[in-house]
Amino acid sequence: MTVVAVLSMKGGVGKSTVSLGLASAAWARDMRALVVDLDPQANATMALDAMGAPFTTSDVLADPRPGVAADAVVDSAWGPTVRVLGAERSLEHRNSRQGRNSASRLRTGLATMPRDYGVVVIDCPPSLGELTRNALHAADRAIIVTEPNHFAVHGAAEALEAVAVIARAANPRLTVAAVVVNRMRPDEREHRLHADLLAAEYGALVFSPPLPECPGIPQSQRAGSPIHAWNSPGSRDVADLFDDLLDAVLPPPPPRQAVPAFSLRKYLA
Amino acid sequence: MSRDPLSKAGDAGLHPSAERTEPSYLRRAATTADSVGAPDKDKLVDLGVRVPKSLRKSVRAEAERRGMRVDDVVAEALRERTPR
Repeated sequence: MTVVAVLSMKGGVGKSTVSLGLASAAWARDMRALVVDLDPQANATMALDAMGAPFTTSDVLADPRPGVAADAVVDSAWGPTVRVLGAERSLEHRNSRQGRNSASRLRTGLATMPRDYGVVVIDCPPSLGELTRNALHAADRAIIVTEPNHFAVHGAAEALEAVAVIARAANPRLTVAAVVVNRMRPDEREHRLHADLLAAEYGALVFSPPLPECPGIPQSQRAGSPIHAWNSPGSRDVADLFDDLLDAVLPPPPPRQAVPAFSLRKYLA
Repeated sequence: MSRDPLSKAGDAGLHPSAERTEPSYLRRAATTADSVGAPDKDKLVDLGVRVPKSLRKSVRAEAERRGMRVDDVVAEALRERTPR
């Protein structure tokens, strides 16, 4: 089970879009996925049609007992393979310290989660508060989302620094999987400039190619559909990019054991 | 090992922009009475009551869940139900 936190300090850059894209890629390959919504705006919860769930991440973070997250997980509208631990507005109350071990409550809550989830995707809020700290304490990998503009690139740098701080202080297994540039319009000079800046600064960490602006993304979200099931111009290309991004997040498959060549002579001996 | 199920957070119905009084169990308390928001002049006294064993178990579980003492949970519940 790989736990990936999707974050950025800047709002509106596409964290929920990337979280849902990863879940969609898992859905397309029949991999069990859990989406944990840590953003009080609850956009991922909305897209997965889980707004009516009795419990949310707010309740899980208010309760320090191990394994409580299992009580709050519900099915999504995408079918049985993609499940959801949704958010609600009052999750905002958990963005400050909640007492002892406040930053590791999500990790504790997820502690007894079944290991048959291929991937757990945590959609973070646009801040460095206690919710994002909880995500980074629980995660193995981090994806930083940005747009090719000045403020968003600055937000990406802040997010990378946050990951480094938490990895050093509390969660040594946490690594950055990718910096994803979203809503790229290659014909805009400003976008090219900032994409080049990011590539120069972070090299191979920058996921390539960037995610293009694609009308199919908001349309599929409004319809509550995985992008992989959405038929519109450009959607297929975006879905392919999310497949590649999921591959970048998951650990590489173990090398295949060499199968000894069958020897008829040995068999008959 | 079984545990009590998850319950709704106490502030679930509170709008994030609304003015919020700090939960009593988070206050720095000099005495039990302080911790449940009673006037400072209140002295702590003993109150012996007989309750069903199952209720005592639930109160203990609730206290553990909220990181409070059993006395504080009981005092808070009584305060909420008792007119001043």
